[in-house]
Amino acid sequence: MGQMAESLASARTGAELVSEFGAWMTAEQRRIFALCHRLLQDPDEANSATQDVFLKAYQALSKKDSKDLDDPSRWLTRIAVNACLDRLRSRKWRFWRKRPSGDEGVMLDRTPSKAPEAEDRYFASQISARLDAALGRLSARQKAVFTLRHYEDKSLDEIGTILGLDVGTVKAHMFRAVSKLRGELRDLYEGSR
Amino acid sequence: MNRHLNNDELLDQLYGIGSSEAKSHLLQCAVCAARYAAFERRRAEAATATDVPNDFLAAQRREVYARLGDDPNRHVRWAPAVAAALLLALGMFLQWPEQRVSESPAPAARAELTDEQLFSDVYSIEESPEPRAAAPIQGLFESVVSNVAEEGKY
Repeated sequence: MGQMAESLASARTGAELVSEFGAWMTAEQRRIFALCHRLLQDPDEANSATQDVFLKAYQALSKKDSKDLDDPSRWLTRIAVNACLDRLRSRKWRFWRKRPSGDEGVMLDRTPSKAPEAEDRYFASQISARLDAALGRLSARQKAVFTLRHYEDKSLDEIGTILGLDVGTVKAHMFRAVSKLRGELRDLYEGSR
Repeated sequence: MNRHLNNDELLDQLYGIGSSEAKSHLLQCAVCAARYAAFERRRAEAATATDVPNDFLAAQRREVYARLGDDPNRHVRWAPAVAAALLLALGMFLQWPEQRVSESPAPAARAELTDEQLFSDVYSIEESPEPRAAAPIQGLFESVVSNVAEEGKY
């Protein structure tokens, strides 16, 4: 647990909590928004979901009987994934949701990777964009499992803890997800050196 | 395993769904281990390859702070008062027809007039020496009596 997480877990007065929470939110916000965006595939919904996640987190932390957090980052990830799964399950939301707009790329522009070759970077970013789009073929659970592994670098055990699933179930979801995305994944990794 | 892992096998390893044979091969084969490391690097690049504009994140934080200022229980807090008001309105609605019958001035006036008239009639009947309906019969007797008296004179 990082220093920020420790101070967050120990903060109990109102002003202290708001201050620590603000710093923590700033540190985690980009990751949580990216996670929500990948799961929801809609920038407006991801924005709304991210706000909900931090509100829920703050409300939970501000309760006097809240327990100290063992791993605030994982806890926040769990809140985010559950919030997104709730939204994905909602038929109403599916019905009313907008198609991804053309200016979506403005919000989630891909930064150049650390790879030295510009061509490689461009290639990787293109494949990643294809992979992001292909996530739409997955079920909500498959998407959550794959996203947590691929983008959040979580182990299958951690994913099970976050989603409240046993490792066998996580593996089954991952197997199906990788089967559906194998074409994109092959393209992504075959250019790697 | 006597051969190198193919890309699909490496990919399965990367996502935690590879076979145990492939996993043990990776520990023994430097060539496959190097290829697997390249796969891991590519995945790590993909994981960090998103950038969100700082002004967007700042606006999002402002939204969160604004919503933190809102009392999330404000609707819940109003609920008992709203429920009480609705119950009161329902009670008044249910009571209203009875009140309308008892408080409506026109029927009440009619009832009072009728009673007054009735009492007046009863009183006048009781005060009169004989019922008005018996007046013709009384008149008949009176005329007979007067005739007999007159006959007695003569």
